[in-house]
Amino acid sequence: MKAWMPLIFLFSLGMGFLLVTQSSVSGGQHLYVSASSLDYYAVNIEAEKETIETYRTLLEETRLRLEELESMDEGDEQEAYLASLQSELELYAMASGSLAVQGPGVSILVDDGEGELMSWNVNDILVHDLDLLLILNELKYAGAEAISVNGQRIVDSTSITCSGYTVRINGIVYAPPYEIKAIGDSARLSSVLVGPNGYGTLLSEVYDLVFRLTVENNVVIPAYTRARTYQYAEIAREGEGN
Amino acid sequence: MEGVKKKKISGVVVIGVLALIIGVVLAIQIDTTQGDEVGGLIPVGQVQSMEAELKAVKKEREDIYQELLVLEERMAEIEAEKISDDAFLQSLSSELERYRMYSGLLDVKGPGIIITVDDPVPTEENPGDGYSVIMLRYDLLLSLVNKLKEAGAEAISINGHRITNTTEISLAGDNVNINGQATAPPYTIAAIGDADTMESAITIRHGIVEVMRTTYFLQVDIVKQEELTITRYTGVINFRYAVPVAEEGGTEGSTTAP
Repeated sequence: MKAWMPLIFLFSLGMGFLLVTQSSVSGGQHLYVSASSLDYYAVNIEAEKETIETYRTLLEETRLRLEELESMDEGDEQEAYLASLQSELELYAMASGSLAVQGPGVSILVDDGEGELMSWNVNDILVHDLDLLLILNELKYAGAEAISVNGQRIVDSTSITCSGYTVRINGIVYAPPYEIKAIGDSARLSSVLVGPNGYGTLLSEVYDLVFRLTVENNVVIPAYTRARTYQYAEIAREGEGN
Repeated sequence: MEGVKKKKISGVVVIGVLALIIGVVLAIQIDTTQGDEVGGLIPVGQVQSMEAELKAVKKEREDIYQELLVLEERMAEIEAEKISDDAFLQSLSSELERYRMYSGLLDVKGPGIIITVDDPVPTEENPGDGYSVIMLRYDLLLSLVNKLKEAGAEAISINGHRITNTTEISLAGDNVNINGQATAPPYTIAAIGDADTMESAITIRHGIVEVMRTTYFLQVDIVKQEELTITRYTGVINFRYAVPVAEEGGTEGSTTAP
């Protein structure tokens, strides 16, 4: 009788060990996932549904346009078509940054800190590429319709990269101060940047950089002037896979 | 009599010890299952149903997209017919296509890379606090996109949202919004361009991918592709504040209306 008691003891111990190991292994293999990842599924499903809605709208627009095109009679069809082409041309030229635009908005001056260096890190009082990126991102979030930095129109391919003390924008090197102009709802633009949680407030109050935002009745933003060529991307058309 | 009593006592002790150990084991097990992450854990079945639903809506999106492409193909044919004998219309039409390309309004395909960024796998040393690292540090996505552009990316999308000149990546409540739409991890960034250049630009020592991996423990996966497709921006484009600057001489595109 006494002999099997330690055996049972060892056996249970082993069982206990196995249980614990099994539970942690299950975790490693994602047999169980965190609650937040369910939320992410929900968000991603919602995003797909929204995309489906936008495709539906596009589909409807295309259908209407197609009907319009088909109903144009021989005589004035060229003229009507020309008119529709020209109005689209201006819209997309503006959207792509290929036209100089003007309108109400804000201008922002960003410069390196003028105060004494308070910490050991000189980086704290310099303007970085990420600062500019975040400012532009906030402007876009606030609905800016056109943006330029030191006269460089921000387009879809614009990158902002630090190279030492300077920053390269659209391939051209600039040093501080940086002058950013944006067209849009100036109240919204300024509240997003210099509001209590604005990035501009953070830069000027915490990092002691120069950040001055001025509301403007009219800012002029030049067109993007560099040639745009595509070496890799080509237009994907129907019936060509995917 | 005495021997029997002794046996009984030691039996009770052993059973007591066993119960204790089982209790401890149970406690540890419950602790590991619950303590891994805030919010508790969800059985895999529920996740699978969500995954199935996601797959279903993706399929639906793909179907409606194909429908759109068919319609556009027909429209392109009709347009080509209308402009076939007019050189002026032809040049206008090709100019329009260029602007649409610059604006990210066309689907494009080409070689490139696909980068997947996901939150760290929770471990015992790093259980996480229930918040998504990549969502809180969305500026990492901003930097990644910036680096890809610097390396010559010609078209970029994040989770299918085309990056245009007005695209924002912003934290809105619990979500990261891109082009005004809520997104969640995992983030899939697709970029068309020179795959090798783009890859080395982001995987350079102390570069963005290394920071993502070693500082934030994010899971980053990079795959080069011979060909990938990036779909267009589907948002609405309208200008409420900006107007074209009237140029002397009146170039094409500027308003001629009285």
